[in-house]
Amino acid sequence: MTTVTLPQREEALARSVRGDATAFADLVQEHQSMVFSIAYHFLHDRGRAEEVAQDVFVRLYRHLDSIKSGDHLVFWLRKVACRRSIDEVRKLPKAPPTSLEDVAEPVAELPATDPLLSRGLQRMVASLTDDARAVIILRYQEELELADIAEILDIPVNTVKSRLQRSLEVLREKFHRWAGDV
Amino acid sequence: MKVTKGRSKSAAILFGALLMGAFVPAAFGQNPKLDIQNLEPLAKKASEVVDVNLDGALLRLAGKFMTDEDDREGLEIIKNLKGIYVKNFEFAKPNEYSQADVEAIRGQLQTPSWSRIVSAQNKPEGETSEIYLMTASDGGTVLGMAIIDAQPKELTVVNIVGPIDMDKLSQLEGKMGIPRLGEVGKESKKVEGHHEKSK
Amino acid sequence: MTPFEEKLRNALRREAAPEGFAERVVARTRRETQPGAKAWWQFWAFVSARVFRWALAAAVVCVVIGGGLVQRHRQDRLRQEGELARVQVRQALHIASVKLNVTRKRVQEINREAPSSRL
Repeated sequence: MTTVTLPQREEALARSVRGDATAFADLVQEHQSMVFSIAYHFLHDRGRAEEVAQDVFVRLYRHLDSIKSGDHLVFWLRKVACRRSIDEVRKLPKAPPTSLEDVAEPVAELPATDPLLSRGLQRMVASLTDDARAVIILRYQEELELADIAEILDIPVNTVKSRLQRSLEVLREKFHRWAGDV
Repeated sequence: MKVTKGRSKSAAILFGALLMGAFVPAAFGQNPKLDIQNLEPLAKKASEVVDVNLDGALLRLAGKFMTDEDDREGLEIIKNLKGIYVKNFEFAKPNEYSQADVEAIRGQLQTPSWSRIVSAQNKPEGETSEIYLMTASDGGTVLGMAIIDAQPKELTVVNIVGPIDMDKLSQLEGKMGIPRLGEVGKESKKVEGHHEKSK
Repeated sequence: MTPFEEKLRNALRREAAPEGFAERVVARTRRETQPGAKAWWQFWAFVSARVFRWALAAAVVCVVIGGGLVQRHRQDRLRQEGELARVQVRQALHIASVKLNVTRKRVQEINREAPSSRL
């Protein structure tokens, strides 16, 4: 992936606002992984995640003139991606409860990057409530500070803190039941 | 005449108060719930924190979800409790908390309602462990329990409100994921939900 | 970060978007901002006016279904709260049991070493 510097990003944004399709495509390419991943970790379904991610960028195209800077763009994308993902979760029929039996139990100690372990954890995250999922994804996928998460989700910092603590405890408990003391 | 009436009124009030005292222990210093909120600022200095605040309603709710085989003993213990409150702090360095922090808790346990039933001190190492019980005036029913365990790099306060069965609590060893005493050195790593502070 | 949080971070690392994603987005934005798209919206406005009564009926149905979804959402929340409370009960009993037994053991050791200085 080409690394985009801050001035280049601001320039691409300015050109996109003026209607430059190539510049807009560059913006999409730069941020597609972030937006797609937020949707994917929410929905745990690549097809639906792509639909949601596309919606986010189409909405961005319509609101380009409200984007003030490169940093604002990233903030906006995270916010809309979370909102759109939550809407998607709520509007479709409830999926069957996440069954950890669907994920094979590990039989030996798992290295930190084991795909089996990651899939199990992703499913557990996808089984959290929408609000909790958003906090966990923004914290561990995007590695945001609590204040930033609060701003994106438009909730108090203390609410972020308590949701994070509760979700981690639920995830730990589920994980320990599934994998033992991995 | 006024003095007589005043005295009668005072006596009536005193009698009423004494009568209430037999039925409302909490109003007269027999409140097994401690105020341990003064310890909250220690969370900022601690590397690991466990903070549990479960009142009666939450305990009832938890009980509905304690359906696993290894929840059985725990469910039995909590079934009549009115609250469980725990503050456990682990610090990277010794002396991150002050004796005043501990004294603020210990001071609440100096009333006649509380009895210190076990105390172990190792002054050179700076270690103190105490267990307190509050029993009803009939001397039988346990109304609450408190444990203060102060180590150089760890401070734990446990407050259980309600009729706790200490023998059953002690026998949880080896069940519910609780290590037996020989494995106690690893206990802090195995506590479920143990978390580092959020940044 | 704790080891568990590291595992979580690894599990939630960013995934690459599907091949050709940016092209599909650009194509879609072109489609939805064409003059034809505008005409499509005008047609939809016309149709909407004619089916207003049906839309109202549908809205009533949605409110009823929505109420059911809200109820389910509440139940999910309660389940989350209950599971968390269970975890905390186990935590608390764990700590209490360990500290109780450790304290008793320390007293026994002290009594064994110096019975005359029993507390």
